[in-house]
Amino acid sequence: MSQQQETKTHLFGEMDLNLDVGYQAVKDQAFHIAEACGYFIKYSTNLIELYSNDYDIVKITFENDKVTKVLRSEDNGSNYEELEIKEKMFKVSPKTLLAYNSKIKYGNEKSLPMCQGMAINKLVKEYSIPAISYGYHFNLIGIETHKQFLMWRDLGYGLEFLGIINKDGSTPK
Amino acid sequence: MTSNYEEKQARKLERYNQLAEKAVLESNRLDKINRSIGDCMNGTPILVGHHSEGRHRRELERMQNRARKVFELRDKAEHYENKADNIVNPKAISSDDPEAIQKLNAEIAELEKQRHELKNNYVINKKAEWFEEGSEHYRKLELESVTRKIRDKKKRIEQLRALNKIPSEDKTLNGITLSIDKTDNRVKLFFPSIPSEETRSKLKSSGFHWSPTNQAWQRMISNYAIYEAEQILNEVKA
Repeated sequence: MSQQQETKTHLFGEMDLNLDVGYQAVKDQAFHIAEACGYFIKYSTNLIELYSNDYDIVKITFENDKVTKVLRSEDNGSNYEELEIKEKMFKVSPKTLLAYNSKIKYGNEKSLPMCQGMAINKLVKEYSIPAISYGYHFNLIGIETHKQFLMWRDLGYGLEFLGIINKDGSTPK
Repeated sequence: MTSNYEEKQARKLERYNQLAEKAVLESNRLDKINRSIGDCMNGTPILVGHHSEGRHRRELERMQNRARKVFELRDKAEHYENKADNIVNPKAISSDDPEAIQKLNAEIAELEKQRHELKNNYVINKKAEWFEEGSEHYRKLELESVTRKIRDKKKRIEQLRALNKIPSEDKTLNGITLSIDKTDNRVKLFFPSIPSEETRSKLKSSGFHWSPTNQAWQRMISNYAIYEAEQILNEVKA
């Protein structure tokens, strides 16, 4: 299976779109397919609505040029189901985040290893994170706030954001 | 012998390439003008109160407008290049293609193979994250997606067969003609004169486009398109 096929999301009929490329590119792809198949597209600033020749309707919502919600209806808009897109935007699952979090030892030690220490310092200062404690486990970095744990992975040349987990184990909405 | 569809696609490709080329040439020309003027002016400040002030300001404004136009033309060129690319490497099988059903059947056969592989020969990698290739969750999603694609393609074949049975038809009401043109695979609405703003927006929101070639508002044939056209016809009549 090619990389191109992997990244495409099947919505209905021939409407297979790569949703990771931003609003304009998604719209262009959709128009090319619609032109070939006779589908109908409506769009506004942050929303693209796709109508099939049948009863399928898909609504793609964008925020900051990223897809946040994909709703699909197979009965002309009476019922919508949300596609599993949001979960894909997280690098790791909430379950894995919890497992990572349990390995990180949080505290307020000032003598941290250079890489992790610099990263934590930079994150707290740059993004004004109200940190109450911080910690690391190998290349994992965590910052604890009053309600949440924020986690990153140190890649050596930068940080990869892993996700946020609430203190009660749930994911923030 | 080339079919009507292939001829049409070739004409479209030629036109899009011409338009893209024209936009690139024009943007290069304007860019060249801007650069040569920029070199001459070389950051000279505006001499306030001097007789050259007005001309200087106007020239700067013209340069800005040209620069904006350069970017607009580049976007336009990219737009037509994308359109041309879509003809060379189509992202979907066109309903206009007379071989659409055969092509869809070939795709279904390919997808059936994929489904068989996913069902019987998929190797689960226990180390893979839940969202990565190799995980059970990924397999489930892929299987769902492939099954859905097969179902949708079969449904499309049925639709195409049903559309083939729709007869060509012309209907006129209050001077407006609704034409179901099987040769072009379009539902066309011919108005005796330019329709009102309200009708035009209704046409656009129903998926109809103005075709300068056919001098008609048209949309690809589907049951829904015919229904929408009839609705417009009745509304305009009323």
